[in-house]
Order: sequence, then C-alpha cells, then structure tokens
Amino acid sequence: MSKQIKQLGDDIWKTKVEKVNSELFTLTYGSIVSQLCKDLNFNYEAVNNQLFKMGYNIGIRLIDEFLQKTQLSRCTNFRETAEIVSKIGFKIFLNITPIITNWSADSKTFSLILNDNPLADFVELPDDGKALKELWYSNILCGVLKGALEMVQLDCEVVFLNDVLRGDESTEIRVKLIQILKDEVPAGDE
Amino acid sequence: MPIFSIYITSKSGSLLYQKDFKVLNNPITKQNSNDYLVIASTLHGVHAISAKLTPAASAKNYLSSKLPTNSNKTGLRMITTSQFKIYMNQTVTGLEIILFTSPDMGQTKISGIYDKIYQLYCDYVLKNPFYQLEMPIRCKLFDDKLLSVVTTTNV
Amino acid sequence: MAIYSFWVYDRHCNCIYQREYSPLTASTSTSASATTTSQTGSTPRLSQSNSALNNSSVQRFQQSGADNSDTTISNNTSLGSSSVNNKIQELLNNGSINAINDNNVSKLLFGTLFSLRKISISLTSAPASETTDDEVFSSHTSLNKFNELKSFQTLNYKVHFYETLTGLKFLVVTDPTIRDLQLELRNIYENHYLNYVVRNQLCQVEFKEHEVISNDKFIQSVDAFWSGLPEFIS
Repeated sequence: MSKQIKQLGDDIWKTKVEKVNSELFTLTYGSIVSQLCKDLNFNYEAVNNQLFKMGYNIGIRLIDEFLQKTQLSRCTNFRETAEIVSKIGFKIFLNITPIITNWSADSKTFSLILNDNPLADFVELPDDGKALKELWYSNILCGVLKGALEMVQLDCEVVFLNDVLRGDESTEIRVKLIQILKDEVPAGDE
Repeated sequence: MPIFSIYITSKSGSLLYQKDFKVLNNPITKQNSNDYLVIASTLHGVHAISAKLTPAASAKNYLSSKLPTNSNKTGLRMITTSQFKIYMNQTVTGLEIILFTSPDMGQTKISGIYDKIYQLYCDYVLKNPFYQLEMPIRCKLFDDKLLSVVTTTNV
Repeated sequence: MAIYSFWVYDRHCNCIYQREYSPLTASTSTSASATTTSQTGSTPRLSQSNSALNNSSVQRFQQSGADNSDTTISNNTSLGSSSVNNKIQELLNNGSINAINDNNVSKLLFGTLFSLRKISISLTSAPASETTDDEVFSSHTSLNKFNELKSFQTLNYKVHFYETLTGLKFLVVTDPTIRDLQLELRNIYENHYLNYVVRNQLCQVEFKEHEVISNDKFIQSVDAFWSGLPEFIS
C-alpha cells in the first residue's frame, strides 16, 4: 500500500506538476515572513498566527487541486491519511516526503519529520533574543495541513514541535485528529 | 439483475410491507425496523416533492414516454446509486411499490415485475377478507407467491 | 431543450451557483403566456408549487422560459447549423444566473437530494446506533465501495449528481432520456471550478450564506461547456 502511494506521488510529481524556480519560491516566502515581522512589530506570536491563517486559506483551496491531480477517493483510516499527506501531498507540492513517526497508541496522532524544508533554505532567524524562542518560521505549513484536512472532514490540530532553525535536532510537525466532521444539515427554515 | 428488497407503502406513506431478499453480494445491509419506516416515509415524501421540481419546459415529457404511467406521471421513478437502483411506482389508488434492484436492472423488465407484484397484491391481499386496508400486510400466501416471483427474476 | 439547469451547493448546504437555461417550474402569474397555462392545467401538481414563487425576478425568467418553449416548437422542423447556434445563444441569453438560489425550488431540490443521498448511504452501512466514529471512518470509506447517489428521475426530468470529497455538490437537471452526466459534472469540478474559482485567489472558496459564484469566466466557461454538448438541444 505504502509503495503504491509513493509511486503515485512520484508519478504526479513527474508528469502533472509545473515546477518553479526554488530561489524565487524561497525568497517569496522569506520576504512574506520578514514583512509580517516588521508589520506586526516583531510580535512573533502574532506572526505565527498570521502565517497559520494564510496557510489555512491556501489549504482549503489546495485540497481541490490535490484531489483533481490525484483522483484519490476517501482514506480508510488515519494511518493511510498520514501516508498520503507525506508521500503525495508534500511530494507533489514541495517535492519532499517527510518521515511519519511517533504514532500515539490510539492512532490519532502522528509526527511528520521534515529532513529538508524548502521554505527555510538560506534562513537564519534574527538574533533579537526572542525569535529563536517564539517564531515558527514555516508555520504556514501547519495552516495548509489544517485547512486541507478540514475540507475532507478531518478536524485536526496541527502544530510545530521542533524546528532546526531554532537549533533543534529535527523539524517536526505534530498532527492530531480531533474528530471527524459530520455532514452539515440544512439550517431550519425561518 | 436481482431484486434486493421490496417496500410497499400506503397512500399516506406508512410502510405496509418490507422484505429483504437473500441475494449473493447484496450491498444492502440489515437495518433497524425503525429505519425501514423512516426510509419508506422519506421516499414517499420525496416522491411527492420531486413532482414540484418539474422544469416547465419538460412538463409534458411523460406523454411521449412508452412506459406505463399509472398515476406516477410526475413523481419520482428511479434513483440510481453506485450499488443499487430504486424503482418506484404508484397505482392510481396511491399504493406505492418500491423495488431495490441491482444497478443493471432495466426499465422494461421492471415494469413486467411490477405488474406481477400488483396482481399478487390484488389477489392475495385485497381479496383476503381478513385484511384491513392501510394495515401492515401479514399474508402468508402473498409472502410465498412474491418470493417465487422474485426468485424467478433473481436466478 | 434537454439541459434545463445547473446547480452547485457548498458543504454548508447553500446554493452557491445556479444557472437556469429553462425555468424549473411553470408559472401561474397573469403575465404568463398560454403555453404555460396549458401546462399547468395538464399537471395539477405543478400549480401548487407556484405559490412558492413570488419574487418578481423569477416571474421574468418564467416569462422567458415560456418564450423558449414556443420557439422550440416552431423551430423543430428544420435546424440548420446557424439556427442551432442562434437557438443556443437565445437559451443562454434568456436563462437566469444566480436568480433563485434561496427560493423554495432550490431548497426543495436540495432537500430531495439530501434525503436520497442519506438513504443510499445508510442502506449500505450498519444501523447508525451500532457504529462508532472510528468505524464510520473506515466503513465510510472502504475506498471505492462508498455508495454514492448518481441520479434520480421522473418521467419528466432527470437530476444528475456528483459530490466531491470536499462536500461540494454539483447537479444538473436534464431530460430523462439523457445518458449519465456524472463524468461531465466531475469535469466541471476538475477543470472549470478549479481553474476559475479555486485558482483565482480573489474569488473565495468558502461561501457565507447568500454569497454566490459570480465570476464571469466561470459562468462563461460552464455555459460554453454545457452548450457544447450534443445533448444541450435535443
């Protein structure tokens, strides 16, 4: 199963995805983050939130793009979802396949370890005493995952646990399934 | 082209008869008896509503239809899902016979089966002096005959 | 005229796009032409629905719909290619866009669909009381085995249905004799909706109540798609 998923991700990456210059991509994202920091007076908490919101708005669109490219149907369980997020989602949009690890006993929480993070090439966090502790530079990724999963009825909590930019050993995103959203029913008539 | 289930509802939408048949690879799972009532009355309601959704330009399409219309000229006729089809037909008296079939069942074949079932209903339900109208159908003869009609179709 | 109307509902059950090439219900308003009156006469059920429609813009479209059916009759004998084009143009011009997203017809259509969809799902899964959330996740999905509603029809019309994993619902109302149009609906999602709504950053993808897709490119490309099908005029 896992192999098939990887194969599908690779195929789509090769045949269906338009590529963009990686410096342009990294610089664009970098300038967004640094501009946000300036605009929000280096309140990194607020910057994280803003990045998350931007990511969320990308995620709720990106999922349609994803479904069209992959032609996938629903996952059978959350482990499959994790495989698909890593081997297809990250693969076709960022050309990386994060490692899935640290499953919780109830199979509702897992971690994605990013060995390579295209958003953060060339980045050093500012040495102002708080950025290293407060800023999650790539927090947009959490928003994207949150938005995309929510659109397919998986209400999840997505947060950064570690980031090599902060001097941690690895870059780790934690994904926790909170609930499966029920179909909405039409509102009662007025 | 097997038939999976049959529902018969009265003109007021209450469920008079319901039976799931034993068929290989039947996608329809067993439900609570309450669920059957809900499904029957939902279908009954939707049948009436669907008539109101008729586009003006198509309101006379039924005239050119070669199928027997009975009183079901404008109401819901057929529902297609990936695993089964639902055929609905209504007699002039308001009785609705609803058949759940495999997706490859065709319109012409179903009208033949429908005729037979209607006839069985007349013979073994209506002509049974102890049957009260609008009450659930509990007639052994009807059961048996219906089963044999369905078995011949399902072979 | 074999494609009557096209509808998109979002995951919050609101109608976010509605395109009518021919009105969904006949009219009893005094402005209606003789054609419409005779239609209502022959099908008593239709007349009941009209009380539901009372806003003036709807009446305008019903009026134009009545005109359409007149031309259908007169043009039927010989249709050269230019007259086919004219007729397509006429239908496109006379139809309405996002005019009745909130009225009763739209709600009835959604309600019908919603109930039938629920039946088709619940009949193929175990009774609700016996399943937990986790089981729903797995049975819900058993990949391609998930039972989907494809269409429903009466002798007068047929409604084709396609739902995306993100909960968008695409519907097209056509003549009952038409082949399945699910692939076409999927095509609209994957090419037209994706290109002109999702990829258009200035167009939202989460709609609040009473918000609709009003983006011209989407409207035009979908119109072009439907009118390009041989089934559009039958």
